Formats: sequence, C-alpha cells, structure tokens
Amino acid sequence: MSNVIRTKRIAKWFAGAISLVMIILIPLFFVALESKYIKGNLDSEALINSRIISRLINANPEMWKFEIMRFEEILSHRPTNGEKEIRRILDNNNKLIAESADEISPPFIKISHDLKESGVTVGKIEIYRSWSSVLWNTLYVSIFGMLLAAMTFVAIRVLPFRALIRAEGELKESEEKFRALFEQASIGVAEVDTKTERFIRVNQKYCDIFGYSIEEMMAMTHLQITHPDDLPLDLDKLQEIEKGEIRDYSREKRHIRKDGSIVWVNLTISSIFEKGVRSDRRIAVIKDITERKHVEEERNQLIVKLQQALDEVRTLSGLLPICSYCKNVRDDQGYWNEIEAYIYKHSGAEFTHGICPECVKKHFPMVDLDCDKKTRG
Amino acid sequence: MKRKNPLSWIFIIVLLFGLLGIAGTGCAETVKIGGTGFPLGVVKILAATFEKQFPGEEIKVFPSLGSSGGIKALLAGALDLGLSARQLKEGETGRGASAMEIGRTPFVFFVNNGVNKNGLTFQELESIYGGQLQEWPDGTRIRLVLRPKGETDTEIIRGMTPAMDQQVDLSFGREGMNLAITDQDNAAVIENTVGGMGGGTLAQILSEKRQVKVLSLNGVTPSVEGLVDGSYPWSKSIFLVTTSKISPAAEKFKDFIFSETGGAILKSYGIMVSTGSLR
Repeated sequence: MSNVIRTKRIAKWFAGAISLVMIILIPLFFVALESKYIKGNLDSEALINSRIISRLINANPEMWKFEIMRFEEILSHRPTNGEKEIRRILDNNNKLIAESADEISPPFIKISHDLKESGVTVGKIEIYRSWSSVLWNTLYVSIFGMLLAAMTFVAIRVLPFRALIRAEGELKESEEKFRALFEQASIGVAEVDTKTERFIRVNQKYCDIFGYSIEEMMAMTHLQITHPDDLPLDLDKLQEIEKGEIRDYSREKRHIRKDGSIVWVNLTISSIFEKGVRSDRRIAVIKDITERKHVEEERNQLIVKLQQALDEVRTLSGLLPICSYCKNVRDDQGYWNEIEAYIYKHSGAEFTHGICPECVKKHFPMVDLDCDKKTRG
Repeated sequence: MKRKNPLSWIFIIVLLFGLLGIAGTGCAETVKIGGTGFPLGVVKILAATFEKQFPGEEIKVFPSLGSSGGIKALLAGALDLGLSARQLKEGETGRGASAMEIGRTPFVFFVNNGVNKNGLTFQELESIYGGQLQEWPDGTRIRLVLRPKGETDTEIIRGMTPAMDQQVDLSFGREGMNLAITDQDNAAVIENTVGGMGGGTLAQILSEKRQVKVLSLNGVTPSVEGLVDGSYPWSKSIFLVTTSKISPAAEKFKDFIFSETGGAILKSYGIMVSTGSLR
C-alpha cells in the first residue's frame, strides 16, 4: 500500500472522527452553554424578583398573600428580548398566590428562589421558560455544526491531498527518472550497506561488468570480487570514509570476473548523506576501463620501444668513437663493430657497396672510367 | 356538714357563666382594616380618634395591600373592613362583598420640594410622560415615578387627555423608569428624589404629612372645593368594603367613619365626603 493511500485512509478516519466530534460536540456545547445562560438569566430574574417581592412581604408580613395585583404587576415584567415565561409566586404550602403566564410549550426550564420574611422562607418564586426555543436554536446550530464538520472533513481529507498527490506524482516521476538513469546507465552503479559491505542495489551494467546476475551480485560483497592486490588500499580508503576523514574516493582497480578474468574499473565510492547526516549506505560507481588499460599497456610498450629506438637514434647523432684506420665503431659495450653493421643496427639503414671514382683511380688504376662514360654517353 | 341545695349550685354556675359573658363582651375586639394605600393615613387618624372615643376598641390598619388585595383579604376573612379605590367587580359582589363610597379626594400631580415649578399644563404633562420633556426649567432632570399599569392612578392619568393614554404607554416603554408599587413608596420616592414627580392623592399627602409640592393642573389648584364646584374634576374615590359577616366592632367603626366626626376628619384631610352616607 502506498504511503499516500495509507495517509489518505488515516486522514479519512481522522477527518471523520473530527467531523463526528464537531457534529456531536457543537450542539452539545451549545445546549450546555445556552442552558447555563438561560438558567443564569432566569436565576438573576428570580433573584431580583424575589428581592422586590420579599420587600413587599416584609412591609406587610400578615397580609402579603393578598397583594396579588401588585405581585402580578411585578411578575408581568419580562426580559427586554421578549422571552415568554411563566412566573409564579407560591406560599410554603405550594398554594398559588400570583401568576403571570405567557403561553409556552413544554419542556420547561425552571428556576426557583425563596421568598423571605425577616429571614424566614414564606414562599417561593418560580420562573419557567420553554426549552423549545433552545431546541430550535440547537437544531440550527446542529445544521451549522454539520456544515462546519463537512467543511472540516473536506479541508482535512481532500485539500492537503491535492498537494500530496501532486508531490507524490512528482516524486514518482523523479524516482522513475532516477530508476531509468540507474538501470540504463552506461556505467555500473551500486548501493552498498556500510555495515555488511553487501550490495543493496546494483544496476545491470554493474552486473555485466563482473559477469554476474543481479541476484548473484546481491548475495555478495564488493570485497569478494576485488582483486586481492587491490584490496588493502580499498580497505584503507573505506576506513577513512567511515571515520569521516574523506567523503569519497576514486581509483582504478582490478576486480575478478565470474569467469576468473581480471577487469579493470574506474571506481568512485561516495558516502550517501541524508539531511546532512551520513547514512549507512555508500554509492559505488564503476566504469569498465579494461580495454583502455590494454590499449594503455600496448601504448606503453610501444612507447618503450620507441624510446629505445629514439635512444638509439640519439646515439648515432652523438659522438661515435670510430677507428681512424679501419673505420670500425666502438659500441657502448666496448666492442668494435663494422661501421655498416653499427649503423644498420642503430638506424636500420642498409648499405650497398660500390667504389667511388677516387677509389677506383686509387685502387684500380687500370680501369678507364672515362671510357665507360663515353660508352654510356 | 350541711349539704348545699342543688338549686344553689345551678345559681352559682349560671352566675359564673353570666360573669364570663359580661367579661367576654367587655374584651376589646380588634378590627382589622386594610386595602388601597392612599387613604391609610386618614384611616389611621380615624382609628386613633375612634379608639380614644371608645376605649377598649382597637383598630388595626394594615399597610397597603392595594384595592384588589384588600377585597381578597376581606373575602378570605383576613380583614374585617376593606378599603378600595374602585367599585367592586362582579366576582367580588358575587362572593358577598358590598362597597360604600366614603368620599373622593383630588388626584394630584406633586413634585419634590426642590422643583421650581408650581403647576403643569396638559401639554407639559403629555411631554413629560412621553419623554419629550426631560428637564425642569432649572435644568434638573425630571424623575417621573410611574405606578403599576393596573393601578387606579395609572387609569386616571390615562383618561386625563386623549393623547395621555399613548403617552403613558410611551413612559412604560422607556427603560430605567421609577416604578412605585405602593402609594406610600410612590410618595416616599418623590419626597426623597431630586426632580421627582408623580401622581397621587391630596388626602394621602395631607394625612401622611408628605414634604412635597402639589402642582396646579392647567392653572387649577387641586382642592376639595374644586371637586365640589367641578373646576378640578380628577379625583379618586375611597370605598369601604364589607361583607354580611361584619363583626359588631367593625360595624361600629364603619358607623364612626360615616359619622359627622368621621366626616369632619375626612374633610380636613382633603376628602370630599360622599352624600347619601350616614352623615
């Protein structure tokens, strides 16, 4: 299950729970508040009225029960908001003394206050108000609460996920690009667990370089395929990375392929940092440089040869110890060589032998060189 | 030992009962009277005079109950005599109550002694109740004292001019107005409040010796004479309410009220005694 789906599910439940709480709690809170407000209101009214009435009672303690009209006048005053009420004065035997009653429908909220005469309770005032207005108001509040809950649900459940889904899409796209980059790269890329040195993830190229399948590679450590001669330096460098002395290193090294052949790679190992902290993973990037290595080797050999040849050419161009008589040349080892052989050896030039005219005259005086010229001419 | 004759025992017993009977007749029976508040001051003076004239008689005047309260208390047997500012209603007469008018007293507007005003016109009165006029000429706030809507006083004020009914309604619609439940509260509030003003009866002001200023209305000074000659028509009646179960002592006090002595007292406190009474 993707993170978004799980988060969506959690958010759905969370939003649902909050909405449900709002649907239940808002009307309940309203009823409690309204009830408290009305009771407080009624309590104040009852208290004020009880004080006014008690003053009349104290003024006429024996006959107060007959002051009905006055009591009714006092009771007839309603709150300025015009709330309908029933107000009653009762004596200690619960006998109705005076009443001012509007038509109100049950259920009722009732508040009662004692009426005192010289500190002794002689009756009580009762004020009733209908709950119906509260119930109606609660209904409106409930509807409002439901709308609010629905808006909250949408706000929690839907709106953030638009951004999340968009982000997830972008992330997925980014991951796909990365995966494609990883899988299709022309270089080998591997992710390695720093604790076990095992591969966590390798791309196909990485496997191809060493001749293993992905599954085989995943069961190995990178140390297992490292050429034993290159292993110590690797271990040193890895240790430096682990100690935090370096973040990465690159080197050319040898590995042993599955078929036992040696493969040269250019290796770069880097620590992976997450939120600025080094993770337990490293990334290894390798490039097969075996061919280049071979070419390099051949080139080097050629260079050596050329160098040698050049060295030899340089000898010819330097001072040649030559015998003044036989014209033999002494080599670096102190042997005397015929000049033809020496030059042939150090320059590759071959000699063809002939006799110059001067030598012909000198050594073969009988030969008429002019006659020969006349004949050819 | 000589035995007494049984007849002598009977004689002794009869004699004792006779003595007890005489003693019982001689015991003062308290007459309880109460009801509307404005005549209570006069009734207390009448009661004091009556008690002086008839030693042994005792009159107890209860604080203001209002006319309805007085009649209810009377019908419930809690009072012997009731005082009402209005005629009886059908329900009350049906339950055995009967009323006799003692007299009428001018219904007046009066103000706190500090108010520099001696009279009001109807226009001013309407403006005061309607809230358009809120200050006395010297700048003092007019502190109007209202009476309950069902009180006779309020009914009288409503009927003074055609516009007054609406103006009174406006006054009840204004927040923070003074409302006096009893006649005594009404008089006391006006007496003690700077700029205070309200309606009441001349009889109450005189009998309770209220330190207030009675205003003329439309140039006419309230007086019994004004009631008699009709120049001042606004008055409030006092009815004595009784039932058929009236006690002899109450009957006696009733007779005193309607006697010449009683009439003289009533007149001296601003009450025009009713004709057709015992006087």
